Amino acid sequence: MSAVIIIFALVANIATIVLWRTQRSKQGAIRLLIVALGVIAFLTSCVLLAIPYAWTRAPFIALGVLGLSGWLCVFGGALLPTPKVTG
Amino acid sequence: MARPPTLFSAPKARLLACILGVLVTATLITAGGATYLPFNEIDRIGVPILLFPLTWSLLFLYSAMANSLWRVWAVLSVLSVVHAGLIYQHLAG
Amino acid sequence: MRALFISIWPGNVMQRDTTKKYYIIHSWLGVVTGILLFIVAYTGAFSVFGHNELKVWANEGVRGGVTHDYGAVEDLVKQHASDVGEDYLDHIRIMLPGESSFTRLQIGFEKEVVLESGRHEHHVIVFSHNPKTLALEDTFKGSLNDWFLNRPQDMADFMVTFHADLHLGNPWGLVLTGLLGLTLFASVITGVIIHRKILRELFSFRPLRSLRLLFTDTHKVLGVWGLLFHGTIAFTGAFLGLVLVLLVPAAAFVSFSGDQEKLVETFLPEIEPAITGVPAEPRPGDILTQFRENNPHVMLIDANIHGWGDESAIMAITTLGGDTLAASETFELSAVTGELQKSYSTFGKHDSVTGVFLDAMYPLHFGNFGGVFVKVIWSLLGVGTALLAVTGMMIWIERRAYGPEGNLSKAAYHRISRFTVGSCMGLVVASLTLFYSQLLLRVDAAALTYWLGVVFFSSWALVIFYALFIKNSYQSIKTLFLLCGLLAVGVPVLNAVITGDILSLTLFNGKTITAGVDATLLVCGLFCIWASRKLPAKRPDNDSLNVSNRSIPAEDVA
Repeated sequence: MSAVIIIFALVANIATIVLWRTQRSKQGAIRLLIVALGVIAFLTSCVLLAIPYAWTRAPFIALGVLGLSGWLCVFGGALLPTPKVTG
Repeated sequence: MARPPTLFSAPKARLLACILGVLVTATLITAGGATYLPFNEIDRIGVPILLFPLTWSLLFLYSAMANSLWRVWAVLSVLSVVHAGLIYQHLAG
Repeated sequence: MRALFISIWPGNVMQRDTTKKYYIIHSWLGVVTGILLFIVAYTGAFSVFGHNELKVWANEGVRGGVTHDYGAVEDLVKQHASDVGEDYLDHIRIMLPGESSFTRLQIGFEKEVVLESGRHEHHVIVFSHNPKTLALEDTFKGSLNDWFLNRPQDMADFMVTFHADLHLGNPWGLVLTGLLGLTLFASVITGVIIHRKILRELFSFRPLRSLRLLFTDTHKVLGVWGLLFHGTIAFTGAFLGLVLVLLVPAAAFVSFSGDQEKLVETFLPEIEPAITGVPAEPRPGDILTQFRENNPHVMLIDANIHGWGDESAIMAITTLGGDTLAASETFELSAVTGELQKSYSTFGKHDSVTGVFLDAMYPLHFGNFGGVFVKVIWSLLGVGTALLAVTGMMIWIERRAYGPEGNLSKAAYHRISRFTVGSCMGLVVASLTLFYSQLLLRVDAAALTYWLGVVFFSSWALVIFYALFIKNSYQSIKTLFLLCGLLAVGVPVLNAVITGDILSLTLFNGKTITAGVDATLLVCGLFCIWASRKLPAKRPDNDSLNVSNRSIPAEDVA
């Protein structure tokens, strides 16, 4: 179960980071929503990780997963082909 | 041609303060902290030990950043002397 | 403190100079400690798996797990107890193989001797048994210190010790790694202060623009996303390195007139049963069997019996992997009835704030508090810390070899660059040779560490000489990546030939740890070979700093 939750937390964090990255030029309500989503994603991963790992450990694991998610998004994103801008 | 002013005054003496002065002062604070902190016996000894990396870092950055090197030596000396005195007082009586 | 705070919260005319001063401190801290930090961080990422994954891989005897017959263990304890004599029965330690650092069943009997000088010394008789057949393999008699120093070691121990003290021993090795933790902590703080646009830098990665930007962006992304991890590793590393050589002696000098043993006893009180003199038969086998049934998911490390033969005898079972952040939890039970009396973490016997934090230091540093997946996360983040060090070094060199900074010649910076490449890539090669040494060396167990060291340091030195000799660093990096890849891919092959544990079999016959280590090396090896093919063989054209731009833009401050 711990493996499934860690992978779930990783995917949830990556999804939030990708959303943040693609929408970061936005202002106002959307920006606020993204920040709220980021916090919720992190807290959800804490709560889920607390199931197999107990409360005393979950925040540390969640922070580790968040760091890895960031690296995966930024370094992995650079490997993806980008569409060429024409005109 | 005049040399441009350096960002760090007295670099050799400052290096000495950052390496040796800070380590000695941080160690004395760690040891001396156990004489006055208002905790139980375990925490009185343990808290300064646990905070050692933070104590060292603050003193190191202050010693490296402060404009006046005299003030750096003064702060390190006062902290060291006060804590050495507290240790002596504790051991003597 | 005023200067520090003014510069942390800038907003005055001094802001630019202050940021530049922090930048200079950050870069010099990094360049002085860069290679050493890479060494400690890389070996740290390796050491996360030292106990017990690499330990199991390195010892054929415990591969595939060990099923304990606690009844048979009890018979052996009783048989040895009757042989060693009354005075060795103060403290009996049963060290269980396969779950942590023990590779054989070891049963130790200890007595305390008062020397002429008034000091206390612990003498032990330790019986070592085969983990599976339980046949007696050897017996040690001497001081506890000698037993600890002369215990047989393997590649896992070699790597963990190298991470802890660089094989320089106590005190110099520990002081060095402790100071390295302090400088990393200061680097993390200065790094945060100089990166004022920290949120923008979370996504700033431009690998194809220039080599300088590749290093700078990689350094920032690794640093910012892993900020809390780097800070935690630095803080706990500084503490763990210096606690024994500086902090405990300093605290003992003040609080216990220099008596360090007394300080340790205050924090870690010994188990002392209230001896009644009423004889009773201890039942360690039944108690361990029952404990295992009640706690199927924890690792049993050892069981310590105090007051053998008395009705008040206590059996303390040390476990790993419970519900607390603390690395280990001890359960005290009656050695006669098996009734649970109390349980506590290593520093949890006293009701103190310090105990909670002291307990957290080791697991937060080694990531051994939540099973193999947490170890994987910690190890990957540790590789990030190592890459942070090496990219920092390369930025420093780039700015000086191809930019406006620095006083040395371009050739001198190239030599530093080649030495950095040799030291860092050499360590990776040397760490891989440990797997070969473990499988191929046929020497006495006591001499294994020496020969592991010979192979490890020789291969490291050879790679450094090679990197210094080859003028084109791009070519040497490409070649060394290929060498690392081939070495890593070769380990599972050699393992299959020497031990018969073929990866396709170990995946399904219960030797999952062996399979996991082999598969990880295979994947890493293939990645290195792929990277070697992709890396350029020479410096790309038009890839130097714009020399006319002599000031450092705030966003380029790394």
